[in-house]
Amino acid sequence: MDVVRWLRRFRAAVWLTWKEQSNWTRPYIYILYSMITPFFSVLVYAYIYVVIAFYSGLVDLSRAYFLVSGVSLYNFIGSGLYGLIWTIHSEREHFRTLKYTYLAFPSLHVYLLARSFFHFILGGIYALVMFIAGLLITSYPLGSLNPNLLEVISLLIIGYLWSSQLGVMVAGTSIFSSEYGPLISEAVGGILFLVGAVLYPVSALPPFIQPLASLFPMMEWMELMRHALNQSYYIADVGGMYMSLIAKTAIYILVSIVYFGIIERLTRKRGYLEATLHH
Amino acid sequence: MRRSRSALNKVLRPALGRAFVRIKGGNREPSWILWEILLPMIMIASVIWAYEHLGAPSIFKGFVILGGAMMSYWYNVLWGMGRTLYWEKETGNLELFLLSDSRLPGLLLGMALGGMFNTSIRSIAVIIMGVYLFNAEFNVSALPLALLIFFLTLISLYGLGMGLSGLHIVYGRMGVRINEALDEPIMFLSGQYYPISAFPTLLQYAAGLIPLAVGLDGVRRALLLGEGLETLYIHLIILAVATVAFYLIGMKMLNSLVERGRRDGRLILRWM
Repeated sequence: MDVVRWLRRFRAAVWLTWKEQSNWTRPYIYILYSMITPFFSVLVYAYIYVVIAFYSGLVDLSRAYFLVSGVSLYNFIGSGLYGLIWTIHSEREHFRTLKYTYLAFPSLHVYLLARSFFHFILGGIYALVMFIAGLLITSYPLGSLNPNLLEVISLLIIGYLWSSQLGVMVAGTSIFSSEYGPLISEAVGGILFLVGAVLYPVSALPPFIQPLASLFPMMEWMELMRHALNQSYYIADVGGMYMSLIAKTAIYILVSIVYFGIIERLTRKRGYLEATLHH
Repeated sequence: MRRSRSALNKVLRPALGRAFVRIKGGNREPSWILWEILLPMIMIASVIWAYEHLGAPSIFKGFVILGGAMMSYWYNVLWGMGRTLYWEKETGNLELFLLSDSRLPGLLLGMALGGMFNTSIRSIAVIIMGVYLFNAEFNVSALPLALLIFFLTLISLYGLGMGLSGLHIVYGRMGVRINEALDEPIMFLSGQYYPISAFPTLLQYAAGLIPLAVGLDGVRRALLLGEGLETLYIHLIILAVATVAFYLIGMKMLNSLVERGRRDGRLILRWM
């Protein structure tokens, strides 16, 4: 395998995403523009805590940490996932370039992973900005954080691996429907937000919804990230949670490769790469 | 007399025609309606459970449900007009429309009316589901006042949306980006999940410039806190002034942007 050539292709797809996302504007304008959404997004959710503190006098910094870290870290997963799934919709329906991409890039699966990489990077920056801003808004003492950088980086890589493969499976499914593609992407993102220990622990969910959380690696990833960012965040069984996260990630990667392979064959057979519905 | 009736026709007829297309198009597939109800419900449920986890009083459930239901008018009515207009331009319909004798505000009115109808179906369903799933309680006797505030909010959103639609015509994808960038600030300043009275005074003044924030606050005060006309008349005055002001500003902005688009040849320029 020619790694240099592979990396060059990967970089080209990331560059294309950057150009398309920034609409060919100057980098500093795009960076300023990009910061608006995460900054106000964290305000929206951090204020949930602030409002409760304002009205009831309840001040529980551990809950503030849970909420702010959850919303911030969700951006890493959400941004990458949406970006990846939207690639199919925008390239096929809006720009009508999917068929050319398919001919030009050796693997659609890798192409999607590369296109999503930019969104994950952006999501990571969003997460960092939101995390710091959110903790400041909720008056959480930043000095009490005790992050383990190696663990954070490892978990970001694992997060990219499982969520990008989940995105590939959803994107593959969306090839079969123009109308439902964006809805499916929103639904998957919404379900992860609902059951992924983002705003509250999974135990706060009604019992009949809780089993849904175990289908995704989100809850483990989220809890371990909280622990990695602040070692004093308590998790009963860190090792067990790592095992579960790694096992689920491996399953996601395997299933995604098999599933997308089947989807790709069906897509070619039925001509869906160039089927547009003027959506 | 005949001239003014003809001018009115040039606004109302395209409005009805475009509203019909939007209503028919938005509801032709029943499963879309189901999705568009369930997706906001996921976010609403998440925030309600977050409040429960934080030990918030149950009145906050009502705040979240009303916030979720009314926020969709911002997306679907205000920006919906701009996005639909952008799509008309991309598909080549806009140039045909501009060549015809109809008036652009009529087309936008149709998009707004269609958007209001479609959003209302979904929002009502969201509120009903919210009541049944989360036992949210509303003061139904205040419904007439809440509806008055709500309709004034929608009319001012139309005026504001008219002006902002021009951005989509002239700036194309950049207009879409401006739209996206404004979503979160508006969500925050409108107090989607909490009352704006919790904001610092300066932010409350800033929120007062957004009709959705004023309308949402008024509807919540009426339906959740049981406040009457004696306190909510201020909301009505602000919304009435906003309705007139945003209509005038919106018309001026739209005309100026369309004129600019004509001058620069951007009205028929696609993929920009």
